[in-house]
Amino acid sequence: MLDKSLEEEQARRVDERLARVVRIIVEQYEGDVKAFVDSTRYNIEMNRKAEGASDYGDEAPLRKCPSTTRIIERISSAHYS
Amino acid sequence: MPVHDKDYRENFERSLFLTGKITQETAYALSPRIKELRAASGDPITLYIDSPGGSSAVAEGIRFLIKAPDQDGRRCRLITVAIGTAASAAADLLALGDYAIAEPQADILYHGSRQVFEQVLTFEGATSVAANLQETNERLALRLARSSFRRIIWRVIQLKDAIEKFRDGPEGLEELVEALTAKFTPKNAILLREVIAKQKSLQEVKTAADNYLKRRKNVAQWPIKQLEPELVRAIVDYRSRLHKEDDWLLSRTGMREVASDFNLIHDYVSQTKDLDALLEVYGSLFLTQAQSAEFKSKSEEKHKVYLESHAADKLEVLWYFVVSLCRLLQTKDYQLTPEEAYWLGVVDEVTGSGLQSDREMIEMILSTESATRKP
Repeated sequence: MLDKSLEEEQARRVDERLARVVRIIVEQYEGDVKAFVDSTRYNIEMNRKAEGASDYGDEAPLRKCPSTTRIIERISSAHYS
Repeated sequence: MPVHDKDYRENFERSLFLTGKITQETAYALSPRIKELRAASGDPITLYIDSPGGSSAVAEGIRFLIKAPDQDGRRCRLITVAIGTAASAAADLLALGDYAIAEPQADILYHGSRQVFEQVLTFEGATSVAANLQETNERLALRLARSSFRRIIWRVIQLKDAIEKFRDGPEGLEELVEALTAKFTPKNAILLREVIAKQKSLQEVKTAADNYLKRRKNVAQWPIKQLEPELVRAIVDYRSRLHKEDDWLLSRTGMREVASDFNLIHDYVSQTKDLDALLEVYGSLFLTQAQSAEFKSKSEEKHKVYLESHAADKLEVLWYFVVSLCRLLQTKDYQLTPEEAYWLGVVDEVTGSGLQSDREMIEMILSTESATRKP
C-alpha cells in the first residue's frame, strides 16, 4: 500500500512560512540563525514587558498589594479566632 | 501577545492516541475517530504516540487515512507527538509528521525491517525475503530522508563555525558533520562517523571520475549509454592507480570494488536530482557572505540561476549525507534521546528543551508583525 501522490507532495512541498523565515535570516541577519532567534526573542520579551506596563498604567504599582477580599479575609480570621 | 500558529501546535481537542503495538486492530480502533475529526474540519490532527512499533504497513495505513485528500482535494496536517516510546514503525510515523514533537521523557528507537516466519525457509525463499527486506529498508530510508532533510538544514546552520566552512565549499561537510557529532552520545556518534567515511570515499572516486571525464570532449552531451562505460573505465583507472603498489587484480577483489564505486556514483547522481524546490527556498542559507551580498544585488529572476551555480553542490552533498544517514538508521538498533532525534532531523521540536524550532521562528515573526500592526 503506497499513496504515491502523498509521498510526492511531501517531497516537493515547501512551507511558505519557513521560506519567509529564510528570507529574513538571509536579508537581515547575514544568514546567522542564532542572531535572528536571539534578537527576535529579545524584542518580543521587551514588547511583552512594555505591553504589561502600559496595560496597567499608573495602577501598576498598586497591583502588588493583596486584593481587598484577601485583606478582609485576613481581618475577619484574626477577629474571630 | 504571543501569536500561536495552529499548524505547529499540538491540539488535544483534535487528537488521537496511538498506544501499544501497532496491529490491524489499532487501525480499526482509530479509523472512526480519524473520519470524525476530518469531517469536523480541515485543521491539523494531533497524533500522540507511545508505541513499541509493530506493522509498518498498518502504521502507513493510519497515516494515509489521516492525510487522505477530502472531496475538494485538501489534506489535514499531521502533528505527531512522542509522549513515551516511539520505536520502529512508530518512530517512522513520528518522523513523518508534518510537524513532529518529542516530549523530554520520550524514547525513540530505530532499526531495520524485520519479518517473523513460522514455516521453514528454502534458499530461494530466503533470497526473496532478503530482497524484500532490503527494498522495504530502502523505501523507508528515502521516505525518512525526505522528511528529515528540511529539519537537518535548520540544524546545521546553527553550527556556527562549521557552517561557515561549509559555505566555502562542499568539502566542508566533514567538519560540519564532526560538529554535529558532538551533540550525540559516543554510541550514536558512530552512526555519523560511518556516514562521513562513506561520503569521503564517494568524494574521492567522484573527483577522480570527474577529472578523467573532463579529458573527453562534450561529455555533458553524451547519452547515458555512452557515458556509463566511460565511467567504468574512469573507475578502473582510479582503482589501478590507487593500488599500483599492491597485487591488485580485477579478477580478485577488483571487480567488486569497481562495481561498488560505480553503484555509489550512480546512486549519488540519481538521488541528487530534483532538489530544485529546496534549493530555491534554502539555497541562500548556504552562501558565503560575499556571495550573499552578490545574490542580494541581483534581480529576483536571476536568483535561481545564481543558487544553482553557488549553492546546489552544497545542498546535494548534504542531501546525500541525509540519505546515507537514514539508510544506516534502518540497519542496526539506534536508541535516541529526544535531543538526538532533534539533531538527526527526526523531530522538529523537543518541548521544554530551549532548542530552536520551526514553530518558534514562525510564531516569532507572526508576533513581531502583530506587534507592529498595533496602533
